[in-house]
Amino acid sequence: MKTEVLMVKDKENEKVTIECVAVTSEIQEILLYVQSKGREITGMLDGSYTQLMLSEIFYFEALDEHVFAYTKDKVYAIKNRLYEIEERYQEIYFLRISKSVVVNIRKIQTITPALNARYMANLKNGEQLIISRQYVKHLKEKLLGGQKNEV
Amino acid sequence: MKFKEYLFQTVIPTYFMLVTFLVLFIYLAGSILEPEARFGYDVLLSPLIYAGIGILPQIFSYSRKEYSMKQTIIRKLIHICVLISLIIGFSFAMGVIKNWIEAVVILCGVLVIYSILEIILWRIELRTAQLLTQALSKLDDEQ
Repeated sequence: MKTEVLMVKDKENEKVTIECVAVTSEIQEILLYVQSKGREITGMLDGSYTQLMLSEIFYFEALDEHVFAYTKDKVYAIKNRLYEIEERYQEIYFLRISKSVVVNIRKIQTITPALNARYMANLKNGEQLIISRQYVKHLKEKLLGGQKNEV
Repeated sequence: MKFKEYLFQTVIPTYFMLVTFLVLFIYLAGSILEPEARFGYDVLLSPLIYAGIGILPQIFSYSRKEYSMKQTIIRKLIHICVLISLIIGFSFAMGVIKNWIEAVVILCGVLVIYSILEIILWRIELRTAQLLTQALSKLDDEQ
C-alpha cells in the first residue's frame, strides 16, 4: 500500500485520507487506529483540566462513584460514567473486563489464566488487571472473533 | 455466570470426564487388587454413580459471586475434603470398601482423578490465554 504525507500549516487542517478499492477488514483496522489516535478526553489532574489522547490511556476504573483514567504513570479524574466510556469507545479497542474496569486492549501485553475461570491482563506498563469470568466471553469475541478456540 | 451456563459449561463436561477416568481407575485398581474377580452388568453403573457423587460438591458450590485467589484456594480445599468424605462414606455404606487398603486405594484414586481434571482445565485455560495473547500481538503488528 502506498503512503503519502503532505504537510499543512494548521493543526486544525490535519486529516487522514484513505483511498481504497473496498473497505476491507485491513482498511477498517487502519481507520479505527487513526480514529483512536485522534480522539481526546478531558481529564483532571491536581485541579487542572488536561486533554488526554485516548491512545495514551491504559484503562479506566470506577472507584466510589468516580471514574479515573490511568496513563503510563499518571491518574486523571474523568467526568464521564464508566458505562458511557464503554459505549462510546468500544469500537476503538476499549473493552470492559470487570464491573469497575474498561481497558484499552492495545495496552495489554499478555493474558494469563487466573484461578476460577478468570484471566489476568498484564499491561505494557507492568500493571495487572483481573478479567472477570463474566467478561471473558466479550474479550474472546473481540480478539478472536469467529475463530474457533478450545473453550 | 448463570447457573444454567455453569451447569452446561462446567458441571456436565466435568461429569463425563469423571466417568471416563473412573472407568480407567476401576480397570487399573481391579486388575491389581482383584484380577480374578468377575462382575455382572450392574457394575457398569458404578462409574456413573460415583461421578454423580463426585460432581455433587461442585453443584452445591455454585456461586454468582467471584472469589479472590485466596477464597478460591480455600473453596477448592473444602471441595476436595467433602468429595473424599462422600466417596469414602458411600463406598463404606455400599460395602465396596472392606479393609483399610481398599480405602487408601480409593482415596489415592480420588486425589489422582481430581488432580488430572484440574490439570486438564488449567491446560484449556492456558491455551485460551495463549490464543488471546497471539491475537493481541497481531493487533500490535498491524499498528
